[in-house]
Amino acid sequence: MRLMSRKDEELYAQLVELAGGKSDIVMEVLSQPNRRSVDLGTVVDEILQKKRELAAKSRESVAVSAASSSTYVPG
Amino acid sequence: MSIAWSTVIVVVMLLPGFLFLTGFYFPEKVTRESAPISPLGQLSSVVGIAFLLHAIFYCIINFIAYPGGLPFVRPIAIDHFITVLRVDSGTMQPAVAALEEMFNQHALRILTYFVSTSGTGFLMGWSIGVLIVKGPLRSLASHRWIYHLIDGTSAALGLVRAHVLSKTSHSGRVIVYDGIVEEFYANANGTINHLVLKDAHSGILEISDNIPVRHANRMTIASNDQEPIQFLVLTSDDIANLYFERIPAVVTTDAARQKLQEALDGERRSSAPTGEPQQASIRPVDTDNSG
Repeated sequence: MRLMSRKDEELYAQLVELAGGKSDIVMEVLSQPNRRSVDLGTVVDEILQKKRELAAKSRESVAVSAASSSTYVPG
Repeated sequence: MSIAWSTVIVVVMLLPGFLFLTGFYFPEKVTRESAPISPLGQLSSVVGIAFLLHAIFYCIINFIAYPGGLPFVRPIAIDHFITVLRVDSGTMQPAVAALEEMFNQHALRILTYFVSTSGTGFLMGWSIGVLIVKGPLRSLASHRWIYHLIDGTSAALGLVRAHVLSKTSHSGRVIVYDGIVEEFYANANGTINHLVLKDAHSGILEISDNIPVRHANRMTIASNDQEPIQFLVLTSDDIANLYFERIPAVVTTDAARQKLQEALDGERRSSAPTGEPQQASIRPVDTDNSG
């Protein structure tokens, strides 16, 4: 028995694409506790917000690693 | 010849019962064996349903439709039917000519009768099957939990997530899988036959003295999340047990779909390779400077 219809698959694929191919983000947003249903618009907002947070974290870690490599003085 | 003729007649008479069972299992997409009964039990239900339908049609035709003067309708003659059933015995030979005439005259009526009874049998079975799957008669189902998974999937995006404890273990560590359930089939005894997961991840569950600990690190099995055809198939040989979890349904409206489309367009624009600056850097050679 198929639990995912074609329509479900299409919508899910669009959400994953919006999340930059990261299905983890979609799953995290969709699985948020304490709600029985959620509006698609809210899901879109939350995915974009999550993406921005991850991108900021990634930039932060790149900046930290760049800073640590620039202060490295050999021998 | 004698055995074959009787068998043909019995099969034709039991057709509404057989089609009832076919219709009964038709809406059931999880397993064709969810209501396992012995072959003898199945045969007795086929016989019972077929006789019930013939009795109902007999009463309708002989006591309502024919006395009511409906055109095309003729009463069912039981004595003729008994003759048909025994037509190949030696003593019934004189009746064959009369039967031939009867068949020639009423072939269309006989055909209509059997198509109607068989169709009614199928529709009755299908209706009961739908009522079991959709809810009102679900108490008749052997394994109701299977249908609970289907309940929310009619929503715009009603996904079910499965956490699977596999049978693969090493030094007190067991592999666990999780993902969105794309398909599943159950056996007659209610166990999972096989499970198909989309966007599957694997992880480790460690069995300690106090409680089992699930490691936070999960690994995606797919090499490319955007590849549309990627799923994990697990059979009952791989599954120790599994936990289903319904994901909140996503309600869509036209405005929300428009918003998603706009966000996707923005995403595609920002991730598209920017070729314009490179084209601008390639300039035709200015030959006027030579002069």
